[in-house]
Amino acid sequence: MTMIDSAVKRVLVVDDEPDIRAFLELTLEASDFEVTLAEDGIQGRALARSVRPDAVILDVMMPGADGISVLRSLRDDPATADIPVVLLTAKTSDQDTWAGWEAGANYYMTKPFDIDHLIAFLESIGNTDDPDAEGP
Amino acid sequence: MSRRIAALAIAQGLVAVVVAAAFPDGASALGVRPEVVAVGGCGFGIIGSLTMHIELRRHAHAVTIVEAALVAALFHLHPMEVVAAAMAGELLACVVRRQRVLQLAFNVTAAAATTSLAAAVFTALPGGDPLDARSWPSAFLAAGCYGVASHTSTSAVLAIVERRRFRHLFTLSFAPSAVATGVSASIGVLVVMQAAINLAAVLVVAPIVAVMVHETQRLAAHRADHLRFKRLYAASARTGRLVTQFEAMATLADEARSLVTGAAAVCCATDRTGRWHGIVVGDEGNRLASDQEVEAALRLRDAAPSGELTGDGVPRLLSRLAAPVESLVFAASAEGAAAPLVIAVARQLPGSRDEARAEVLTAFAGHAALTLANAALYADVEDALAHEVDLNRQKDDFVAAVSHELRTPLTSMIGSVASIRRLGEKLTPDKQSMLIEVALRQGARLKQLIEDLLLLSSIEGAPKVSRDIDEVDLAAMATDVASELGGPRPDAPAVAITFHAGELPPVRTDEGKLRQIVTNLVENARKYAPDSDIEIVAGAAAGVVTVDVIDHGEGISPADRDRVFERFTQLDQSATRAKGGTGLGLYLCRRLAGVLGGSLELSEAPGGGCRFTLTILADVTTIDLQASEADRSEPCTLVHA
Repeated sequence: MTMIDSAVKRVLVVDDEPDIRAFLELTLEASDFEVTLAEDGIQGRALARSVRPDAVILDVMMPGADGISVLRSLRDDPATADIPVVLLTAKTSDQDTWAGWEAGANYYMTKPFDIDHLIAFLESIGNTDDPDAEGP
Repeated sequence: MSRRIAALAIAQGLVAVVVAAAFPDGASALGVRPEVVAVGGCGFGIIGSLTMHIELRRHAHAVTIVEAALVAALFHLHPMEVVAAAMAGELLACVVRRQRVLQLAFNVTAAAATTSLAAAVFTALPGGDPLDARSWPSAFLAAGCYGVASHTSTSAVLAIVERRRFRHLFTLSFAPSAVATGVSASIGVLVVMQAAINLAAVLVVAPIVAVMVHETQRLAAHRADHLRFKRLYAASARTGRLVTQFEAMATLADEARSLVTGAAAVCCATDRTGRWHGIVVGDEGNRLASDQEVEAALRLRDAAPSGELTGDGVPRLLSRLAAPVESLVFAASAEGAAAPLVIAVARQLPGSRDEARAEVLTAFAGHAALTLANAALYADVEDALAHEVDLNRQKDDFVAAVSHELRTPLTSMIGSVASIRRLGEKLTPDKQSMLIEVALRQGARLKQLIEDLLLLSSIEGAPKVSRDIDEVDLAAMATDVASELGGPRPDAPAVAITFHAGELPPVRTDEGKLRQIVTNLVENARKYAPDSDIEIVAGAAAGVVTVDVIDHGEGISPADRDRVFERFTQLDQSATRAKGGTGLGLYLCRRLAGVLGGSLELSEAPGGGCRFTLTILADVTTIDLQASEADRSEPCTLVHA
């Protein structure tokens, strides 16, 4: 166990699909993350500011504020600009992918995504300072 | 314009009086012999009406050999008699041509002024004996004076009438008129010399003059024909590439107008529905023709395929195209032409019985029909292309939407199962069963989506939707649906679904499709108004049966009512997804209603909530399915991949 692992990572999940929220919450909590849920972009933006999570999992197609616009506003706010963000989307075109990277995504996963990949990415966050650190 | 012409006439009259006063033995009319004036007047009149045509520098000019008569008169008559005879001749010509008073006044004063100038010059110079060569220059000078004065006067009046520059007109035809004056004066001197020897010798000149006049007139007619067809080809070439119908009609009218030297023109043609429209082109620009004007033009066509009407023959409505209208030339496209059309041109220049104009316009109408047919064809192709592009775009949108809709439930399914595998023993039994529930629920949603897509494909993709038509007991079917769907659900309590119906006629339709619509509508009501009771109300009207599905939930705002029938439109997406909607239900219902020869509309229920009204034919076999589906012109957008 390294020092970084000693602090529990907080993850904010923003998705309008209740079942996706449900299985992500369950799986991430069982993988030792502290999970906060948001049902839409506006709630997600507010929670990102108040909770200051270590990572955000953000759905792209949501009613109200979509994931791309939420991501941009997070990047514009100095308080949230550095939070790693994983975009989750059912959009697969190059154009959509580019829009995601351009908005400042750290990782981009198309639905249906591999939960193991997602967790591996989340666990790698913050470990770059310690090259010897390894995942579980 | 009239005032300026009148002023010109008065000025000419004054010139004549002043010049005549300077005649050696005064302006006294006492010595004027009436019989001489009468004979001289006839001579001037006849010779003045022998128009010849001279072509110089690509312009044709009409000239007369009236100077010949003038020279002869100067040698033999008293100056005052010359002036009087010239005036009488002009008067005669004007009366024969039925000219207006103003024109007559102008022409007669012009004759007085020009001949008096010539007479004054002739009397001031030596001469009098035609056989004495010294008198010939005097005759030529007098004729030249007459020619210049006459040309000045003509140019002045043309400048006023045609609103062109005097200097331009004067120089334009100065040379041909000088040539004509020289030739005529020579003829005059020749005649006078002949007459001095023997009066009968004059007759020797007559055939030469007659042939000359005839020949120039024939040439002029040829030239006019040639020019007309040259203009026709040029106009046809200019209009060949027109692509929009109204632009084509306006340009065709404009070309027709200049082709037959008209002031205004109307071009009438049919649009794609076969309705006639017209466009009027005049000096004030273009405008749409009124229905009455179009009808008047069509009546012309019904009377004759082409022609030229003059004076009172011009229909009153069309005579207003350009006031005052002297004649109306019209032509219609030949029967069976690519596009029917009628062109009528209102002219302010005098008409004639000469059929050349109507003939040219007919030829142009034939070309114009092709142009219009071309434009229509172009529009069709453009529409088809736009439709195709639109279809492609819709197809792309649809594929993207389907992809999204399929991926979403799949994500939860795979994610849940992957979580169970990943966490294994770490999961408590209740968490495990929750994940299994998610997978099953999303699997069911996926199944529903696939079924909806297959149904959609069968409606939109198939060339002909199959229908299983039979006698349907609507009341039994609706009661059945009501009892089936009213029970309690894991996430909602039981609700009362009631069915009311008045007198129902026997219904012949596709029971499976009808049941699907009603079931979908009731399911929809249960989803969006979970706590509300639902009513199914059936009724009948002339040839149709209606089924209303009414709930008393929150309802849908009028602005959003049409959107609920669009594919993958979920007004409140989170609510829909929570309940496993596919976003295709209502869209499918409406399409199915179309297959049953009916429609599906949404309105507000009395007391709030939604009322979906399904209207279908009581006997669906009374319509041709292909036709009704074609009328909807809904694009077929489902891709078979």
